[in-house]
Amino acid sequence: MCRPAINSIHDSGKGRQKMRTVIVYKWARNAEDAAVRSDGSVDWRNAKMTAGEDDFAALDAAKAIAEGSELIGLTIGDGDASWALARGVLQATSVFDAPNLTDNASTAAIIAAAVQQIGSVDAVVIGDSEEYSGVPVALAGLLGWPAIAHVSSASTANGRVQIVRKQGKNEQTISIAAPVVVAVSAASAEKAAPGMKEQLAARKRPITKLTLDTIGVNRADKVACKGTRLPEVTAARIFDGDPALAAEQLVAALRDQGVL
Amino acid sequence: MTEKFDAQYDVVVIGGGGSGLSAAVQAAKDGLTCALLEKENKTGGSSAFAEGHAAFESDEQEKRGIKVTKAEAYAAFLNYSHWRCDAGVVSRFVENAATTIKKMRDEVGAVYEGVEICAPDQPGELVTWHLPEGEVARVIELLEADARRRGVDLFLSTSATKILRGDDGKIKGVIAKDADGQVVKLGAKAVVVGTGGFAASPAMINKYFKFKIGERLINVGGPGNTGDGINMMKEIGAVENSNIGCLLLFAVMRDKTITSHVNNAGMQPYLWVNKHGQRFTDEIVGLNFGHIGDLMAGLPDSMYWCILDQNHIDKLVNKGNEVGLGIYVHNYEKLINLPGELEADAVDEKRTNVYKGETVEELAGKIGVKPEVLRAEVDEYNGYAKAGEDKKYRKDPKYLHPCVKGPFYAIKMETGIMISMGAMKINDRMQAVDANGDAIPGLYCVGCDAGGLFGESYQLTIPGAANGFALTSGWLSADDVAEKVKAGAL
Repeated sequence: MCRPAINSIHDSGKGRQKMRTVIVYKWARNAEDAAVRSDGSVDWRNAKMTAGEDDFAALDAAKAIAEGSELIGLTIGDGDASWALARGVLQATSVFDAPNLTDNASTAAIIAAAVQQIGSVDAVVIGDSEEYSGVPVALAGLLGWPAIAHVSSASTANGRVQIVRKQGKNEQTISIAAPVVVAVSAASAEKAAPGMKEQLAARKRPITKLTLDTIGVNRADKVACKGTRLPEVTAARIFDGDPALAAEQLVAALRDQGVL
Repeated sequence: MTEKFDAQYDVVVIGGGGSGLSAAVQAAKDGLTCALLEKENKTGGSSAFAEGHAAFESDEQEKRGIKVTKAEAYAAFLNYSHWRCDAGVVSRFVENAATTIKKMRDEVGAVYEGVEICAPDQPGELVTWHLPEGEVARVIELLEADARRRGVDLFLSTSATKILRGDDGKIKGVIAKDADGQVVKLGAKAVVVGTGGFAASPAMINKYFKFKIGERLINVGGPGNTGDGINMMKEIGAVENSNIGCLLLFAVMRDKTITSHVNNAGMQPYLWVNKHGQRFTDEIVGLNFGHIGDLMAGLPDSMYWCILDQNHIDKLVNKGNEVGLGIYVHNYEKLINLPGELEADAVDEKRTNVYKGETVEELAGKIGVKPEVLRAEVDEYNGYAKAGEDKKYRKDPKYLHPCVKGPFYAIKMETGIMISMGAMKINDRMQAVDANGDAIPGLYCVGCDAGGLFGESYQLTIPGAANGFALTSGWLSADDVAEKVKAGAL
């Protein structure tokens, strides 16, 4: 895949460069929506693509990078595409027939192809999902761009993307030239969801609908799941009744197991 | 001119408790577009506090060898209420409650851990209490997830303020205030109201309940149950059920949680006296928390003192209680936290609901009762205990334990409320009706906003009835909406 040209445009009025930014959201299902049956099978029923726990923070970072520039929402699959449009994004693109895929690289391929379809993008911001951790780096690889992961916040300065991320107890600030993939980890949940009026209005905002065919991606999953089983569980023992006696029994049990 | 709405749905559900979520999920299954408005920032309402729900002839009962027939349950509802319940509403609930178990398990994902009774030693109690893993709070989580997956629009922190009814008499929408304070107007062919009753509205309790104790009641249910749906329905012509004052009351300590062992000790059927120090009933009424709630609401200051001696306390700690409080304190549980909790409460001068006295007379002085009155009551009670016969209130001798060994404790129990349950008159399709008894086209009323299941009192002998009705009335209402929408009647 060719490295696309950098499309930074100098904004003489503000002394900063514009960053055409894509925020990727609702690109996976939430595992908590799956029902695990007693035989170990996993029933996804009609679980839809949903906003990930990092999507809120990613959107904040994307807004900061795009400040004053074009910010485009990108979602894949069957989730409600108006999520970003209710949160200050003015236009969105949806690859609405994208399936949920087990293979992270295949998911990244769909997102990468959609980013290229949007064109002239400087920064792609995406949630740094623990569950689908391969997607942001695979996306960067497919685009041929650098990726910065575990990001806590981002902005722009002097035509470059400024990124802050936590490294253990330390905070690291990185300055990088566009284009770049920024994978953001959320430190907390969304503080205030938009109200009903805003959510309903968002549904009337423009959404460009793409299909896998129009972006030239094969829908086949490269990973086939052969089955699932329940994890091994160890029975819990409860020591109750008289506190002193229960404590003695607990200590004896811990000694018996070699813990103490 | 066509009226302008911010959005148009087949059905708008007001209230995101058990009944509202059940309605919303079923509406989506039936192919209807649906929005659910919940004024709190989370779903659940009072259902989030429920432990289980009632059903009859369910497969969960059958596989445990439990037989409670629909006919038996139907008769129990009618007899308990002195036939003041609505026979049509009861019949529909009894017929469909077992289907609710199947729906919650097979379609929503709930797992039932047991089917039990609630209170020990309660004559005629039916084994109907279906207990889901994680209690009903888990069912609520599953229902909410299912609703979202099925495309229901859930709007939290959004209060419905008005139901719109057209000149043709049909429901046409809802006005609401959203989380940002914006006014939103939704079009709808039907509105299902399940706002949880009025347990959190002292003014409505004073208006509808026999005793005017609204300000004094301790509400342990949802803070949002302020009767919003009832008032909105009345504004457009719906009428009240004759048993609108039916409340689920119980004995509870102010400033204590329902898991407190002192609180549970105060419910035990030992020696109780009223505000003036007089014994007033057979204390086994405490084995049924619904009965004691109804009784104490009419006592002076709607409270009683439970008098315990050291022998009572030793028994509760070492052998266990006589009655628990649902799953929060189990029946026959050893109240191991009781001594420490009692001592801490008794020495805390800020607390006015636990007192300790080395003698009965000292205790009487602390609780504001004439010492000679309490002394006389204790002596009379001890005489009955010694004789093994309670000649005054005929209490079962197994609960007659003398009050002789100091120190003595007094625990103040006040009247708490979980939910109100009798509000609006509905028909057996869960439709709200007008003063002529005619259904208001498109207006449905479910859960604790709906009247008809009970008479003047909650029926604890069919444990889980209120929550079973909430979950069942919800989906029944949605099915009726779907039928009428598809027939072009709405």
